[in-house]
Amino acid sequence: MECHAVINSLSDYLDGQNVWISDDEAKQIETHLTNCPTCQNFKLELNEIKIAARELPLHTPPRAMWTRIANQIEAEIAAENGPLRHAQNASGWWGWLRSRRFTFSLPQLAGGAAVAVALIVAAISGIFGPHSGTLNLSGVQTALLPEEDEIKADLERRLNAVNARKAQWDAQRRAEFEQHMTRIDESLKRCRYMLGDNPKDAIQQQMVRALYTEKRQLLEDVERLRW
Amino acid sequence: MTTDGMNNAAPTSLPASLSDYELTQASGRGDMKAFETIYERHHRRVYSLCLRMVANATEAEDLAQEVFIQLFRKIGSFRGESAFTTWLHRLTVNHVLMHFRKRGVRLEKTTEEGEIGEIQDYLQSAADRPRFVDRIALDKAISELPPGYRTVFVLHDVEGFEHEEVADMLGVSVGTSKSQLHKARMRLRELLNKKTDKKTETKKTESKK
Repeated sequence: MECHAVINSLSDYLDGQNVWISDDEAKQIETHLTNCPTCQNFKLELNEIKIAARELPLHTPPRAMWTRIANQIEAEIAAENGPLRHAQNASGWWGWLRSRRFTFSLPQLAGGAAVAVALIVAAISGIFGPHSGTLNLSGVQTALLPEEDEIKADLERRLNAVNARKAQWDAQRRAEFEQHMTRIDESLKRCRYMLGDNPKDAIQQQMVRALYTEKRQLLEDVERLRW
Repeated sequence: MTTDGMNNAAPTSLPASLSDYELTQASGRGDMKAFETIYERHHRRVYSLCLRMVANATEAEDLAQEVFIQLFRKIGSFRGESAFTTWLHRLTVNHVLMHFRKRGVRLEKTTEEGEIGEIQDYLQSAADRPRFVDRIALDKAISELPPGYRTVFVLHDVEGFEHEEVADMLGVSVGTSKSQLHKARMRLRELLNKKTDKKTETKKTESKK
């Protein structure tokens, strides 16, 4: 057997002598390898590459990758199940809430009362504290999007209108609303932080816009339902 | 699945002993903490696979991110009939191949000129070759392969898929898969030897100084 033929068959020989080449051919290759140090060397090198390939080091992606994944998943879920979709039904979000049967145990009622007290305290401290509005725009200081100031002003106006009525809500409704707002604000905070690191990151820009839209939709629903 | 469901289902901590299958079931119910644990266990492997296939860190990051988002959407369909790792790797490979198709990368026709002619050169100068393949150098050399060779090599030699599976995934014959793999190994050997030769030359020059 010639060197060329042996070299061309070496991968088949290394990968499965009984699968890709016949016993007879394998014997011919072995005979050649015994007598040809050059081809033997070639075989050893290909085998080393084959073995090393299974032991390659793993690479680590940037830590921000998980944040982006989590944000996108949360945004997708929110888009699928957000309040706007409920509001599009005839009964709306209010109807959805009304359709739910709330039964509370004593500990739950006690917990609810505690939440209500906490909210009242938070509202009072909000009124008299350094941040007189209750708008939480996730520590927004400088605009990261060209239209961000405009969005913030719109959200602030809507939120002020909602805040003015919030005192009349029952604890359950308030807790539901706060829960949605907190969730959006937390995501917004994470995304803005990421965007601050890389202001040209188109995905983060998209995420921030989507979250502002979600927040506006929530406030619109509350306004429209005249809570 | 709702955002409420997602948060409600998320426990504060998950036992490390939970199997991948148990985690997929919890993730399928919207448990984000379970999904994060899956991510923690597998993200390096998924990212490394993407990186080795596309040989570009930014692209690999985007692809790995898309894979995990797609995984979250599909995780409910994982029935545990195969190992989760196998399932995830297949999902990753399919996603990268789809990316290649969208980008118009022709895998089966990507070759380099003069590949077999190099055997002769090798035969003439094979006496002094390294006996050890540096894994980092090999990783770097893989990124220098043409896309067609690289894909087959990564799928077969790095990820351990059989030729029949590689051929099936790439839509080529088993013969093509085998031939591409052999050429990939030959090219890698050459690249590694070049690197070793360079190192030796540098050392010689330095010792002369």
